[in-house]
Amino acid sequence: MSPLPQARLEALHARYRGTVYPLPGPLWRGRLFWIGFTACFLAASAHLGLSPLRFWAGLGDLGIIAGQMWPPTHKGFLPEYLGALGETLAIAFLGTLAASLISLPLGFLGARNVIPNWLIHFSLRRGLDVVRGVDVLVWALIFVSVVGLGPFAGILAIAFNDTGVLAKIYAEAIENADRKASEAVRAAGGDEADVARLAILPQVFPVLISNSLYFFEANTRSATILGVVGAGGIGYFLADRIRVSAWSDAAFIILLILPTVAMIDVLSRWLRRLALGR
Amino acid sequence: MLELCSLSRSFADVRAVDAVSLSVAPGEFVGVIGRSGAGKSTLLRLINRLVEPTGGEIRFDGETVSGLRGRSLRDWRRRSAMIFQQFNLIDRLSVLDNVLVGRAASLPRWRSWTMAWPPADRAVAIEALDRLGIADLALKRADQLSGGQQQRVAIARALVQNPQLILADEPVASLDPHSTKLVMDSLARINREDGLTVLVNLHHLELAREYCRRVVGVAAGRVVFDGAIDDLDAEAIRTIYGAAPQ
Repeated sequence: MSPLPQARLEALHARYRGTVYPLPGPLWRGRLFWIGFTACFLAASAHLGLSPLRFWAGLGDLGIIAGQMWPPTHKGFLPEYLGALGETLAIAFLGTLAASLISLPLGFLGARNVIPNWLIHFSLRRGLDVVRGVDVLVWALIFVSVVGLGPFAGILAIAFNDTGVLAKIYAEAIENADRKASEAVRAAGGDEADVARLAILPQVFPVLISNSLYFFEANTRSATILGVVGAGGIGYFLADRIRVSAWSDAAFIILLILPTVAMIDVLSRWLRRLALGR
Repeated sequence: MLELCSLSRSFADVRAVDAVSLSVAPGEFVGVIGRSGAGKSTLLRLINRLVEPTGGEIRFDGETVSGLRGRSLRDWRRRSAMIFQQFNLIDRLSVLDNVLVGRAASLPRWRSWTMAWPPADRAVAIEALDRLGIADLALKRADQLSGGQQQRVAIARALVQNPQLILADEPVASLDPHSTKLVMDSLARINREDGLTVLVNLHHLELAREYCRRVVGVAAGRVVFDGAIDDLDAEAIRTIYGAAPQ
């Protein structure tokens, strides 16, 4: 394509401002964003005293630890480890299940198209914000104090934290559901409960299941951490071995966790595909 | 000169396009007509190589384009611009950026990735929009436009590709009568003024009668009619559309 003469460029620029040459507004908005971003990056790094040099020095220690990890050993603790791993999976499963069951009614209550009441909507959403604003580890510490050491505290922590996130995701999925189906149920004489059950639930069910499965995957991983604060599971052993620098034992536990998490991922991908009906 | 030599495409055991041979001279405005599912869409997509042929050849000005790979394939796609039924604009980008997508294949990668389009290309894009009468919408988001406006943005995108061929796949099937006229008139004007070859899929016979001098009738993946629109008699229509014309 032959380039346009400069005079034509100027003419087009004069006629349709902001097209041939970007307007100063959007141009500087973009530039300011990147300037601000770079400034934040540098400020955050400076505040924490980060430097590439320190990273390199630490890398050497990491090499030494990696060396001590080989060969991984279990020193006869394998049955205990497997039991604790099962406990971790159980915590993740029961925690996610509880969160999903609580989130289902909350999701409907929090969806604007189901409950048009502004006050219910607002207070529910803010309440969920508070629950979500506290990390699962903090919940675990709190519940360990409440119900004592053990897996029950872990289940409660996961159920609590995930309800905060899942209920919000559920509510948004329900709000995005197609209105046409709801209209059909209403036109056929159904009440609001019928609309929720017959028009909305079939549409959003695969999305809800799919999200819960994602959370189950993530929880299998985070349930490992819960053991560190005494909320049951394999994490207890892992934290203990790391504390006494028994790196080859720690390596064994990590190698035990990896295939378990991978297996859960495969299983949940299969279930998700089943739920989506593909 | 575009030549198709017994071009075929099968999906599983369905022969969507079945040994189609066709030649189109430069500057022709050809309507491809037929029922839904006759293989019109697949035919156009085959030419642009969005769909790989399972048999036969595509030649353009003597060059075999059905065997092209990599860069030269992408250049062929630039040269044979597609226009889609559903416009296929990027909703969240501005109209201008959508048109400039048509320049991406002609610009260095860093330009397209950062969307830092050179003023010269921006000018080409705005001029294309100006030709189609929608330059004042250039800075709007594409999804704020009506269907007819969106399709004209898509035509502008095709134009700035600097193509030798325009392949329009049911360009007016989702438009109201007024927009249909605007879009078809735009295609006719580009064909007349720029001498671009245009292949357009239509399922309305009336539109074909109004805009095309030559029509190709497709039924069950095969060309069953190829000739002047005036030769399209009741008998020919029956072979193309089956029992009764829709």
